[in-house]
Amino acid sequence: MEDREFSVAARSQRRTIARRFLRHRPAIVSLVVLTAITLFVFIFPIFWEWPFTKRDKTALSQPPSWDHPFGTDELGKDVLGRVMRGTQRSLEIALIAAFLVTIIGVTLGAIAGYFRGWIDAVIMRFTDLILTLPLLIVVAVVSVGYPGSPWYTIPVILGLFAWTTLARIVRAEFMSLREKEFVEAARAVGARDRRIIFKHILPNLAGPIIVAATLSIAGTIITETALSFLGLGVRAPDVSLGLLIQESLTAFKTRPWLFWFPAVAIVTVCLSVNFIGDGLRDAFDPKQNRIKA
Amino acid sequence: MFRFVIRRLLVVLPLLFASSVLTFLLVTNIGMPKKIEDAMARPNFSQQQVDSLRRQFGIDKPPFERYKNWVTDFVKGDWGTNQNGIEIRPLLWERMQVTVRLLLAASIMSVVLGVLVGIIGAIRQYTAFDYSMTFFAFLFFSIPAAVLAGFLKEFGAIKLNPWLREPSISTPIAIGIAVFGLVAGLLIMRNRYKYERERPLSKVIVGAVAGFGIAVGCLLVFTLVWGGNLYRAGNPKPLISTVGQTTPGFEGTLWETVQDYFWHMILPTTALVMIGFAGYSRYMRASMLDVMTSDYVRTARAKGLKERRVTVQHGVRNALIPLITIVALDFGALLSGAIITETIFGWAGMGRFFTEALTEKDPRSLLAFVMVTAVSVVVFNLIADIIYAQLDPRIRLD
Amino acid sequence: MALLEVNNLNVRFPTEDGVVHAVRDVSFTVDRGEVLGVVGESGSGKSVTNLAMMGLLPRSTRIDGSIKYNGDELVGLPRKRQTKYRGNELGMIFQDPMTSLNPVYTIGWQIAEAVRAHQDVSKKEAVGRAVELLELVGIPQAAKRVESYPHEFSGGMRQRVMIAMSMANSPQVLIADEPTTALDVTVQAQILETLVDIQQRTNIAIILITHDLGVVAGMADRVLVMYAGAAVELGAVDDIFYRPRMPYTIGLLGAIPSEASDGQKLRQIKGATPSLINMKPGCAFSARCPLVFDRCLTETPVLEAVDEPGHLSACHLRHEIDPVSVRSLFSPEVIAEVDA
Ligand SMILES: Nc1ncnc2c1ncn2[C@@H]1O[C@H](COP(=O)(O)OP(=O)(O)OP(=O)(O)O)[C@@H](O)[C@H]1O
Ligand code: SF4
Ligand SMILES: [Mg+2]
Repeated sequence: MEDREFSVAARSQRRTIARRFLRHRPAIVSLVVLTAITLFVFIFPIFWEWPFTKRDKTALSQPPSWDHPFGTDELGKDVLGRVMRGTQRSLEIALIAAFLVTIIGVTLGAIAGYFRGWIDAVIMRFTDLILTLPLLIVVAVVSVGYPGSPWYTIPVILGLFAWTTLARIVRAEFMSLREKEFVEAARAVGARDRRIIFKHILPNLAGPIIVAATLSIAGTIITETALSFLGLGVRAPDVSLGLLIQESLTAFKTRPWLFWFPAVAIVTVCLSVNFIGDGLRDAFDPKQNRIKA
Repeated sequence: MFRFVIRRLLVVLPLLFASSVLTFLLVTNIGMPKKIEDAMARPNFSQQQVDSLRRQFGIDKPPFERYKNWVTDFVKGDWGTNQNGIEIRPLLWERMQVTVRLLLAASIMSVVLGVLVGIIGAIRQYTAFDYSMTFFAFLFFSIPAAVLAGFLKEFGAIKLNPWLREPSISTPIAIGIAVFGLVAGLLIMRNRYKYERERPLSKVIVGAVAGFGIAVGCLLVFTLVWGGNLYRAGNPKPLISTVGQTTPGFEGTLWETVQDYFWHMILPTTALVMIGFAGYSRYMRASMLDVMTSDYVRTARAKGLKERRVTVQHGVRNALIPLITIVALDFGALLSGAIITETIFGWAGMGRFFTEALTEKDPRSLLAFVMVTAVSVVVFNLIADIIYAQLDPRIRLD
Repeated sequence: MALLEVNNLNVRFPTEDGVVHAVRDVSFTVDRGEVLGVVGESGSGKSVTNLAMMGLLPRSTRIDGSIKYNGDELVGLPRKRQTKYRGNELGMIFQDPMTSLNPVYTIGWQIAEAVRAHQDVSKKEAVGRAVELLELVGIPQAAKRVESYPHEFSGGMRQRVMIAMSMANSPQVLIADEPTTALDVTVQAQILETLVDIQQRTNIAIILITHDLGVVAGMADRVLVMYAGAAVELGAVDDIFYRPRMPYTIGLLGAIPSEASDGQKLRQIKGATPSLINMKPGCAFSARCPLVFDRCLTETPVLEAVDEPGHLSACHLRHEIDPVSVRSLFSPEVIAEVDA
């Protein structure tokens, strides 16, 4: 009986959140744009005749044309093919990193906030320790130290070092939620810790967690660009958006198409992700939406 | 306070110790210094040469011993020399000053801008101003530093410099600016009375006229003062510099040196300010919204305080607390260098120090750099805590 | 002329889901020195009505009708001129004393700020006044406690501070919006006692919003019953408690745990309040009313006089209603028992 009421309330709450999100116009537009881009860069390359490594020796450094809508680079590689592949890679990197950040951040934050005491102290000191080492520095050093490592080492390391903020948020929420009546009540009827954490507390944190996960996708893409700019990110012959930017920054004036297409791709993807994050935040936290008095 | 610092140090010292271990592990795994790699790549390299190089880089001993030596030397202040035999400590110190100069200016400006825009965005929520600032903040968030800096170089300097040398405003643009002032003044005043029953037309007209007047005034000042070549005099070089932190070999009076600094700082500062502004304005807006909907602000209004006093004394005062601590933390983290910005604009700061050390894979430089970074993070953490406690009486230091 | 005259007050909030019509055609008066109790379910518009009088609603709120204080119209007053009344002629205290004080300023500072908002006195004099006020509300060692921060006070003490602050400029009306709901039971009584004490000493008019009918019976001279944004019954406290003429009031009274029933159970009228967006014509209570008949669904009843002087009810059956028989209609199926 009680459980059913709870789930009815939860369902209607979910509907309200969905409705509020749907009303956030920039977020909806962004969602459409991002979905379109994602589908496009993952599906279209199958049909496109110029994979990102293939060279068109008859068209070197050509501006956009019918054959090569985004132009070609100095080796005759098709920029559209490269931008699609780069976007693919950047999205993959971002998703892996965001996934790891979320898993680690939520787990450590939940454990620290729920059990408190020495467990909390250990986890928080560990967080402090991670924070003393700037993310970019760590990835850069590892990247130089292991030059042959595959592309997914970058998002894995980013994920392993970027969870601190989320862990702190989750921990703070857990600290306050575990004192609430409904948790006390669950404990009183003998629910086990695991059940309380997963069934009673975590669902209340869906909002901040989803928002943080979303925003870390944008953050990772930006960080990857920085790494690639320093020559420490994804390595040729593979491409990422960051790498394309790095390759073309000097050609900014002479062959602008090399620079503009990947640049626009990055900004569009990140902007969309940020707006979606904003829409989610508004949907989950209506308090920010209106001034009471 | 004193006791608090002591107690915190007791936590911080083990933290720094752990950090140093991690740093050491990280750096020892980076491989041979480039100099040794190069030596080994030469066809006629001798093992002896390599051994002496290893000794020179201090990597001839087993890891544990190396760690011990490094830590003791580091604490004593002997940070060794880099691959070119240059003392690391003075070099790093010099680089740090360059970075701090850049960061300080950029941080101050982005905080001031971000705070102002955040406040206005919150109290004028969902106005044209709020929407456009939100958009710009997200846009700046979404532009990688490399792209942003590239833009600035192209449009901020290469296109702007000729104009700066021969500043002029064409008639259509002048008219455009005047009209913008008029419309802005009108919209601001209209918004102000949006929800009041009588919307005094006179006030809106006054706003429009004032906006127009300010715009025209600016144009006048421009033609009279700036158009009258204030900066042109005897300065044949490009004004806004795209490379370096000073003109190499520049010597002049104090005023000229300051000017030289200024023109070099414009672009990198702008890049950093744009990025910082995006974060701080969003943060301040959220914080301000939170505070302005709080019960104690309602109480302040119920007392009959003027809205300005409510906003400043109760709203801004409380909303700034979390922001200021964030700023302190950011500053500590940023000290490791605005690497991308420094690289693009050719500043020889901490960022350059790091990239050079990284290409050379010079262990001593890297260790020193990462440790300095860690210490700065920890120190600014401490500062953030102290500021927080100063601003919020609920937090006690002892 | 009554001290406070509210006439046909309407409050609408434009929201994403539509216009919330939170207060509908409410009219009542408050006389000098009287205590008006305001009761009604959660969401019935008690707070919004009073916030409208204080001018504390969001800027986008649409307020129509008239609120006259001492003959001065408050509705539609420019923001700037509202501050002349707020805190000066009308004071207000809120439900949650834990969050109602600014954590970064001392108690003395905050009270002195209220004093100086309306009186041209030096800071020192204002702090002196703060000490007097704290003594008035029964805070021991007031001269020392002005230096304290809110977090150094208990909830009850903070509510006293709020009362002291609202009294800083000797207002004529004190609006107390559920002043004890957030407090421990023992502290509740003390706070109410403080209010009664102040009321007797200063002859201030108090609007007391509460869910506690017992408190209303003990303190109020008159009672206003609200339902779904409308005033549904208004009258002297005895009229409301012994001769209610509106089924909702009767149900509300029936919802007090009687001595016979289990003290742990709290009773409630079954069903939910209607949505305040796009309200249909007719009586808002019709969906839950045991006496509902066809006219109730088409014609909105307005507040009109019944037998006793000053007793008004908004029900088509106000003249026919017999409280006892209606009460029997409410139980036990209509009144649900909920675990307290
Ligand atoms: N700023 C607002 N925007 C939209 N709706 C609002 C706003 N403020 C209040 N409301 C709505 O107005 C209605 C009346 O609210 P009000 O706070 O006056 O109820 P109340 O009688 O004081 O209830 P309670 O006993 O819970 O305090 C509610 O449905 C509420 O959701
Ligand atoms: S008007 Fe009709 S529905 Fe409304 S309270 Fe009276 S009898 Fe009930
Ligand atoms: Mg209320």
